[in-house]
Amino acid sequence: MDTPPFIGELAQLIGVDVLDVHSDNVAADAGAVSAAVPGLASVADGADSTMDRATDGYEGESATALAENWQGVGGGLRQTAATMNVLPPVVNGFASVASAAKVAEITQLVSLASVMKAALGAGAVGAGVAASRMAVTRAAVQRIKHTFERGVATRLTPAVDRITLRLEELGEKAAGPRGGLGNPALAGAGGRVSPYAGRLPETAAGAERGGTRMGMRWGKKDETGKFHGDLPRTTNDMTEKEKRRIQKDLEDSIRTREEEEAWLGHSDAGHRRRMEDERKALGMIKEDFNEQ
Amino acid sequence: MYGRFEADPESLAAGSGQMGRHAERFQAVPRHLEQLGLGGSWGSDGLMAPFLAAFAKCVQTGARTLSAQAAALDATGGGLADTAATMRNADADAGRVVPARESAT
Repeated sequence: MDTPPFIGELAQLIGVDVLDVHSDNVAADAGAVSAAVPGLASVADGADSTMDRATDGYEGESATALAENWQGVGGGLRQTAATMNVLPPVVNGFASVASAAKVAEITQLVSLASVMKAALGAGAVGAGVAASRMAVTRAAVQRIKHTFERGVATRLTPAVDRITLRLEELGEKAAGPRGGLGNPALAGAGGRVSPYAGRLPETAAGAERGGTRMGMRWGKKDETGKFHGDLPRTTNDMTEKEKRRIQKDLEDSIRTREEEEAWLGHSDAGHRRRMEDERKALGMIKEDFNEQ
Repeated sequence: MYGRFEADPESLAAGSGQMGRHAERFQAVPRHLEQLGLGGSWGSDGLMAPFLAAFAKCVQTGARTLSAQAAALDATGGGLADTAATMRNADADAGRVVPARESAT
């Protein structure tokens, strides 16, 4: 919304300026960020199935190490996409608040304008009325600016900073100095990031033959970054690959739910119960890995 | 103490190429975000500056993280290719040390 020219002049006359913000452009930028996210999620899905196909029938120490590493890399992609997804609503919130503040300021000035028009025809008394109304309007506009600034500084900027912090964490994880760890014999030296790094010794042993059964007997994490569908009640009859997939999905899902909760500042009972159930299922799978 | 070992170098090598393409597609996103110049046309009001700065930093950090992850994807793809090559070489080497093979040909 553009400031009408006579309002701009009036604002100058009483010594305030109307908030200079193009909220449409702010909203457009928020849209650009959210438009980028589905692409990220689809690459993450594609990479996941590529990995599944490439390692089908690949078993042994190196295969397990590779799968462990993939959990980190692939999971990181999804977490970044989910975190980026939180930014647009915050920016849209800023656009609405800024636009509302601007409208409120203009409203004050429009009402001043109508008083001035009447007052200027009323001689000395009118001049007095006009002067006091100008002071009132100036105070009101300054109050609006103050409220806007405080609201943005206490709620919206910290929300963006939290997202930045999380993205930094994810970036550091992705770029971690992992070369040389893992299984250099198979991965080949050369100083690059080894895809076998980050393996957990206690789970690297004993990969039992899983067979080709990759059925969807349990739920999975969908594009919201949260686990939907049935949670496994037992790990019996689950292949290594399935266990790893569900473990990873649950871990990501719980993190996404926690992030949502932190951003929203509250959570409803159903959501809390679901998170509790997911934590339980995850604990069961982890325990199962430890027993091997 | 060795567990079971099974591998298919062909599918590992094929996966490597695909993973490289995924990495490229992933890398395109941060490049695109940086080109858009987000936050450049919001207006010049000083009251917005702190939020605008936070937003710009967030997008920048996001783009950096995405680039690092694209590199990790690419490295994973490279690792798959290396693994396939190492297995093939190991197999060929093992083939050469079997004396019976020498006399048969």
